[in-house]
Amino acid sequence: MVVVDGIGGYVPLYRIDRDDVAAQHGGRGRGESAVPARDENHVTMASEATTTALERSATAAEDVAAVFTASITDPFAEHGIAAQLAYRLGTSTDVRTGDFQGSARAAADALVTAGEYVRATDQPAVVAAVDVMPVESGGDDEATMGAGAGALVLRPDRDDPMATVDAVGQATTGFLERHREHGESATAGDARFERRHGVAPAASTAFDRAETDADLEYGVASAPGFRLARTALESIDAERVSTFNEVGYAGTATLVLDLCHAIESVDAGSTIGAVAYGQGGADAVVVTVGDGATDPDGLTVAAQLEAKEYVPYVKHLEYRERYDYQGVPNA
Amino acid sequence: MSGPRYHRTRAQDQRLLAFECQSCGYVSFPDERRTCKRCGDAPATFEEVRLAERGEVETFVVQEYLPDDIEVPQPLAIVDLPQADGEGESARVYGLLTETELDELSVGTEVEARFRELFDDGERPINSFKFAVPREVKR
Amino acid sequence: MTDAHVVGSGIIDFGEKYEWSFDDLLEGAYLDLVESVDHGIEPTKDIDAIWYGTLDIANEGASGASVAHATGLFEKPATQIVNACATGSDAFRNAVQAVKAGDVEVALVIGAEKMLDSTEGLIGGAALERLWRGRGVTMPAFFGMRATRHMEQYDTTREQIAEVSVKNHENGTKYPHAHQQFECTVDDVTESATVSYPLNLYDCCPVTDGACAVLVTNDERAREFTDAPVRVAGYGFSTDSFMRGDDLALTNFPASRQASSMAYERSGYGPDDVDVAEVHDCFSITELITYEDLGFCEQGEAGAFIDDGVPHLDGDKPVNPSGGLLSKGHPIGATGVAQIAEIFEQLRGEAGDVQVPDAEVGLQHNIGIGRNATGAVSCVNILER
Repeated sequence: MVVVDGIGGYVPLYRIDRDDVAAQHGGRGRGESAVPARDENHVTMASEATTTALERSATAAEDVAAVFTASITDPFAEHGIAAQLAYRLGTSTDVRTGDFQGSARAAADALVTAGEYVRATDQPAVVAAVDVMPVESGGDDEATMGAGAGALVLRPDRDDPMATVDAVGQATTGFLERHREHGESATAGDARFERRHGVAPAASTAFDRAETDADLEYGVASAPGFRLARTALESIDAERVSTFNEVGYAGTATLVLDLCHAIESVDAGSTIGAVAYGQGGADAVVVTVGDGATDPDGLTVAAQLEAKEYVPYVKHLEYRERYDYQGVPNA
Repeated sequence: MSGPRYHRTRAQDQRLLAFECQSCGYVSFPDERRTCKRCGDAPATFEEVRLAERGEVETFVVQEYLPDDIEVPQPLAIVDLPQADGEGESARVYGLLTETELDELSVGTEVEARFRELFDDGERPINSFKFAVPREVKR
Repeated sequence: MTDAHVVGSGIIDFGEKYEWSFDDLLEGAYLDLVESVDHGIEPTKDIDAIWYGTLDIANEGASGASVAHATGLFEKPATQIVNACATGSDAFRNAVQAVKAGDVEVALVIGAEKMLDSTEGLIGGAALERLWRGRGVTMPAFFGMRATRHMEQYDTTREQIAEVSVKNHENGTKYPHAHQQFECTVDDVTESATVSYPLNLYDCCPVTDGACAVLVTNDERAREFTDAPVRVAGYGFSTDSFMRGDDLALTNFPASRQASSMAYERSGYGPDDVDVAEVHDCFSITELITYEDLGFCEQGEAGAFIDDGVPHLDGDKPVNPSGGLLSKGHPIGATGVAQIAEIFEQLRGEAGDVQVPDAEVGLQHNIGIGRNATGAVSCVNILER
């Protein structure tokens, strides 16, 4: 068995009102998207989410056997997030690390691999997903690209866990349409084609393969747009839990952040079907919420959605880019 | 690039590791040396302690004029951080605040340590702690 | 052992001296000294050694050779002293010690700083790439933190802090070498632009170029230069930890207490004996706190001390008759030397419009650098007629 020992979501304080984005180019928007502060980066945001998850867990940092991270926007080709996060958390130096990337499925890959690792080693593992989606002024998806992080601590067993992982399923279809170069905004391609031939078959197959007898009451979907995510949940009859209208699409973080939000906000005993769609296919995870998720310590995702400040349009562009420091290196 | 500088203090900078003098109880942060800054014991015996990620503002300012690298207004505070296990003395540290405004601050305000990017070394971000009023205050 | 005496001083008008190079500043102060020694001086023959104070912010004056070059005083020991904002007075203290030790008969003390060649100034240091040690921090912040705490702990008011600046600017208009020659009101100070809350623009000293020199000699030779030498009665210097941050360091400058205790003990005088003082007022709050550290008033009573008018020019214990750093300016290496020069003039009755009547004992106080404890270097010298 694999249980969710701790969960933590992180939503930056700052938001851009989508109306303010639309107003720049003529038009209207609904909802808002999360914008990182200038002093936040992938490692710091992953640290925020993971610290919350570990505090809620029964796992001490030095007992964590693996740290797997996912990101599709890490600006570094070589640098990594997992090892930096592991050090920050205070894990032992014999911790296994892995950086998953290259597809928005990376969060599910990290989660499922961590589950396998826990089963294989009988030791706890940490999964963190973090992204700051790049935008282009005037780009089609400028208003809905978000930022955030989510983290899970998995372990073999625990009394009153926050949730249990009941089943996983995957569908590697090889479908490719949307793509994105480093630091650039995405080339979305034909949205209808992606929905009908990419999302729908991959997500439904992944759910089919996640064998569970449970009735999926709630659904969580990660896909780079509201309609794509809705399509990903079409094959299950579940109430959708999403931060899309408050956070936007936060890349790999969306799966874990939304799953965290769902576990925090639905009743114990409920079953959640979560699906991550990305380049090459989709993955589904089914979890059942445990008593340990009732009134969790620390800030919930819901509380962070409320605790916010709006930034003007220029800051939304500026804060997503890495700042070019002048510094006084040798003073 | 000065990798060695950030490497040798990474436990203090990323984990709030501090050093408690076994002779007088003074908690040294971030210095890790063999002499005590308070009782002068030399060589002193220090024990490693972890600081809590929540403390109290002892005094503060809010700076308005700084180089472009730093956004203004930029509050700065002296913060007493207790030890994580609740034992012994607090460490008195000074640090930058983030996402915190003048009207949220007074002597005695509770602040959280938040892991943030301070600057970069070449292109490489250097992360350590700033302080902020707890996020729930923003609701 | 001989005493040390100040027997001459020289200063240039402090200000924005864009036409003057760093060497010009040194040369100007040196020539003013040479020309003003009462009985004259033959510098190359009389001067045995030089103590030279500068942080060398302009990067043009490192080492003793720089002062030798600027003054033409070659083939003598010349020592550069660097000790943060207390550089000038520590140069003086070192010269005094050498004279008292009998190793040097006549010492030139000279301090200079070219602050205005760099538009960035000291504020650029806030971009320093150091964790926990200066990143994002300016001098107004280090001193402002003491203001915040002093107000909280002792109910010191914003207006009492501002009054220091009002007083010193008024004095500065009467002091010929001051950079800022204008008066201001408490409202002007409290309504000026915020630099680092709670400190505003008029709570801060200006950025100023300047230089100053004094001549120090022993008992035997003092009257060779003047009939009115000023004796160095005592001196003290102390440091504090950057990071330790004792409770007292939240509101005060502990190093100043130690430095002044040493100076009082050496001189045999106490705070009540001081007739006039030149103290470090890089910011208004610095001077206010210093009243307490020097024992001019009780702990926490500095606000009432200034409310009562005690440190004003016509008060019982005038502080900063020259206008202080707030008005005169703070060219770092020159600052402490200029304070000594002013006390020298006060005790000789030559201080013109800012003369304190019958001043016999004068105190000079100069501090520098900040972190968890601020004013972490502190120098106090006591002079007497």
